Amino acid sequence: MKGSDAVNGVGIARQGAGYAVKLNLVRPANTDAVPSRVDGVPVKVEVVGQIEKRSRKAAVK
Amino acid sequence: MHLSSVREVKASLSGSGEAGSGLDVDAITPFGLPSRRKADVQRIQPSVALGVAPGKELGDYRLAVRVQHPNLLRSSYVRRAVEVARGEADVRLIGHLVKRDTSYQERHRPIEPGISVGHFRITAGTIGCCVERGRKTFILSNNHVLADENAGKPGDDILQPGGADGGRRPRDVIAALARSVRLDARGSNTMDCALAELKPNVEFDVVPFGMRRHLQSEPVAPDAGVRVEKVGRTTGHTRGRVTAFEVDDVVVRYDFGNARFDGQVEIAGGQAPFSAGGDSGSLIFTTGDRRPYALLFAGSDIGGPTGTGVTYANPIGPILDRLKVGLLA
Repeated sequence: MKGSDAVNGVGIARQGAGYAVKLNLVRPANTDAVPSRVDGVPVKVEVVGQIEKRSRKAAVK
Repeated sequence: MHLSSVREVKASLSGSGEAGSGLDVDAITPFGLPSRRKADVQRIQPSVALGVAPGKELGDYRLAVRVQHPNLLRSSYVRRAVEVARGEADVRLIGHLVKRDTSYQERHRPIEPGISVGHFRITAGTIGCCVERGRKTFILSNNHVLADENAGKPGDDILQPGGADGGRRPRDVIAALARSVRLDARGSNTMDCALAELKPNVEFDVVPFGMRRHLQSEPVAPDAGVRVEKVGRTTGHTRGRVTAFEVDDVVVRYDFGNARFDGQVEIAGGQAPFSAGGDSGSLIFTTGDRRPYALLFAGSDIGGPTGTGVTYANPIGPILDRLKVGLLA
């Protein structure tokens, strides 16, 4: 999914006693092409939505 | 479910006259009350709030059922809400809501990490921490808080509290913009940070607002699963857990457009969000040994283990190295 505008981050997460690759999405997307493991490392997929700076005018009360 | 269907379900339940709809002290009694004089008990008690929650995909919605007392999770009202929504209900225990503490947004002297601040043209963010280089003392926060997303110039006025919290020039000027790391709209960014030099007459305290214990000065390298805390202008003192680190290709929406970040830390809160708008610039530190961890700068409203959104932060070590400053703890 490299280059997909649905992807909003790829990082490292904890899973059990080890680590996993975490694939963040802006919105729900077809992830059939995403393997459950890469070289034995689990892959977690999560929808985190649009990320914004934390001082956006509309959000400041 | 269609949005109109959710609204119909919500309207039918709201007009039922059962617990949860305009619940008062008599209706909540079966679920338990604190033992005190009846005259001292609030007439309106924590109950069940109904709303609209996002469904599994765009255009799909569910009935949001927000429960404010654990006993109400087993109530006939909540069961009926789920039945009427034909199972398409998002039921969550949110606990007792209290008005937000606004003291972090007020004017404070001496200034302290965790309170409102901002370049004179922006709304408000948070003082992350105090740092030093030579004999000069600075406050550290985000570029978009102290340098107005690259638009600020050295010497620009920095206000405490920020403009959105009533800060005005010249009365509330505490510092002058000294240096910022430029936000790159085309390439990759690793940090959103800036320094402002404190005015000579402005006193400061290095312990975050509302806390008693000092932080340590030595940063810790990111890892996942670490428990962390922060003090920020909007949500105050919150706790969370690092859900990912070394996160690349994070696209963040700014006023000037989108910017891409690599090497970021992702944090999620518990039942409440770890951060909200106005918390930008907060220093995140580890729970327990209280070591500096990261500088908060962005977030989302969905995702995370409890669905309350995720927060993104720049690892603090590289920021201190880049700006050639030492953290005052």
